Amino acid sequence: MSSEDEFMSGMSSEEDDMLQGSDNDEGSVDDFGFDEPEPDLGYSQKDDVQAKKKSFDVNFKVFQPKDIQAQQDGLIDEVNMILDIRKEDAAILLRHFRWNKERLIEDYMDRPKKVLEAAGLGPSATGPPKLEIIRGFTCDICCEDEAGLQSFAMKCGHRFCVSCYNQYLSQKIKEEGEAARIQCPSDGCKRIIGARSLDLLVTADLRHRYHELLTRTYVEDKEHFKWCPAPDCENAIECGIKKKDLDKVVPTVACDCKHRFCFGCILADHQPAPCTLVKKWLKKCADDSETANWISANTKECPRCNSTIEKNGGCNHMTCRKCKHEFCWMCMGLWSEHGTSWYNCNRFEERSGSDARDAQAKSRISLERYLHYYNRYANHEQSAKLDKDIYNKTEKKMIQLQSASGMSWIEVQYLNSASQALQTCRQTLKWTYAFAFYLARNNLTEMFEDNQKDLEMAVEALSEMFEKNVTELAEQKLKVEIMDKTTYCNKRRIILLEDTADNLANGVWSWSTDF
Amino acid sequence: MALPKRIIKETERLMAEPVPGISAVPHGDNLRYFDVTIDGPESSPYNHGRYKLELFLPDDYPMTPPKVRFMTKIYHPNIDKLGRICLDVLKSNWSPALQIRTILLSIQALLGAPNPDDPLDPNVAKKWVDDPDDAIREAKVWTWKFGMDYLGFEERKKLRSDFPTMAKGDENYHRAKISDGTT
Repeated sequence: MSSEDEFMSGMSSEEDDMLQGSDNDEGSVDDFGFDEPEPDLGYSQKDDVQAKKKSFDVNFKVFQPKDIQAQQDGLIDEVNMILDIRKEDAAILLRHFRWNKERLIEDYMDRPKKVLEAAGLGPSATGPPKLEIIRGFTCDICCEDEAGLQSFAMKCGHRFCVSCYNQYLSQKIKEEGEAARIQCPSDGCKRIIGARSLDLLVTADLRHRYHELLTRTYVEDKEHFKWCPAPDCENAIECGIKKKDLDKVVPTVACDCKHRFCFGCILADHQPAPCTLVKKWLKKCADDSETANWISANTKECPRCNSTIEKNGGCNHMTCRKCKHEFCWMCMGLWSEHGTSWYNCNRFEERSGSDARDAQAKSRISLERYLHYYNRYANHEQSAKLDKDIYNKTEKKMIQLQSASGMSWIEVQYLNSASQALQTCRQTLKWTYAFAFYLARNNLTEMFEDNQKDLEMAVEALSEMFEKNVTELAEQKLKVEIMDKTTYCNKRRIILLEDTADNLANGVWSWSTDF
Repeated sequence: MALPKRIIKETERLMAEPVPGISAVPHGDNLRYFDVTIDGPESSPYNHGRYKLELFLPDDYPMTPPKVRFMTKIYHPNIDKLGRICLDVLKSNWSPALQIRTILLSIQALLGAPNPDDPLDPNVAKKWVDDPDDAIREAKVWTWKFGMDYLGFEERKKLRSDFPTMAKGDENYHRAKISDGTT
């Protein structure tokens, strides 16, 4: 135990170093005033505050639907007051300007007419929208002309009957998912239908969907907002990471619904691998994995033209269909050197054969390398799924444990945290293999692999303890061990992630391929 | 399902006041399905060609646009091998106030003014940008080959000199043959 303690303390001081390094770095990025880290009091204080934050963490904020609504309303009110226009129009203008309030106000001050026209508000008239019955009116859409037909027209004057309007809007809202930019049904008319007109024309369920979609556009229009991709989650997340920074950071955020995902690409947490790498890796896996496995097991390459050949029967005398090269399947040497020992290669070392085998070994090695990383990646993915099953059983286990050992609810929570640690660590481990696949070999990579190995060993050990049955779990000794191991796993994960995140931010990783 | 008033009115008007150079006749057993022909505009390489199209009005017409497709082969950057048409008013810019008549006119206009910057068939479009003269030649060859079945032999013969020659040795000769699938 003592040796491990020493090891830990050694690591933690290293960790501090790394943290400080990254903070200086952040300081210089955030505020340009601190290009050189001067040891003045204010600055170091700032350092202390920031030290709590891990270098691989990013700032983000979770918004619930009501917060989003409130934000929108706030902006609309503001514009409504400053520009002295109706709230409905303010909303349309804001949506037109993709919620960039400053630009809207500036542009509107300069040339209000042009802005209104562009946003589909046209010359403004007075009076609220209302349905009308007009004598002799024929609807251009359905060609109905019966007396007493209710019709509606916006300020543009294009008049259609209420039932056509209703169908048109429901097509737009339900089928096309549009809300903020629904135009007048007339061909080429750019006027946008506002919420008040819409409320007059459609049924309650459409109205509800319409307002839901309006809220959506708010999040979708804003660069720093994204929806939580978890099923049934209605929250949105704000994070200031820009697209161009994605090769320097892996912006992992956690929604209130517990779902952890990457803000850059919306995929589930893939630390420490950056988005471009993840995309490349997933594509490679989808394309290659099974094929590569099969090729590796069942084929050899032609020694001359490297075509992949499957021997599905017959003798060892191979003739490549592409280049007509004749060789021996057993030793890969020239067939002509086989003299009279047809159909049975018992020769050991012949120059041409060993050269051919060398060349083949080289082409195989890249395949094997890929499979090495892929198998480990897939293994952790699989294990994480299995651990998830166990997690679902954990609840039951905790209850059993309470009755078997007389422990209280709070005393069995350690199982819960162990299970969670297993999940997150496996997720991280999984992506370390994709990450490692693209790394070039150097000292940094070796350090990375050591970190990876430590985490992997710890996770496997914890996983094993976690699977023990209830009677064994009831022992105090095992409980302490599990708690220790959980902490250790989490710590190792943080160390690994900080190391990779710092190196990524400083751009010091060297890759085996270009991105 | 009863045919909506709108479709009846449109059909009546198409019959009563046909658009010059365009015909649209509904099928007897399905009044939502139209056999259409469009004549190639005079100043285009499709001049003298008469193109067959099919047009179908989906259930939610006029809220959704009609489905239109060329049945005659045509060399055009916005029309692909299967006759599908890339035209804004048939997709995002559809408005329920548009009609069969206006859509067919837009398609005729598209024949007169190809838009290679927004291509459906990238190979044709590339040709159109890189070597417009040759592309127009090619389009004429196709018009001659596929678009003039409606004419009698004598009438066709009279027009022969308006179309690029396809004598042996001319590159268009081979291309027209290959594109026809008869080598």
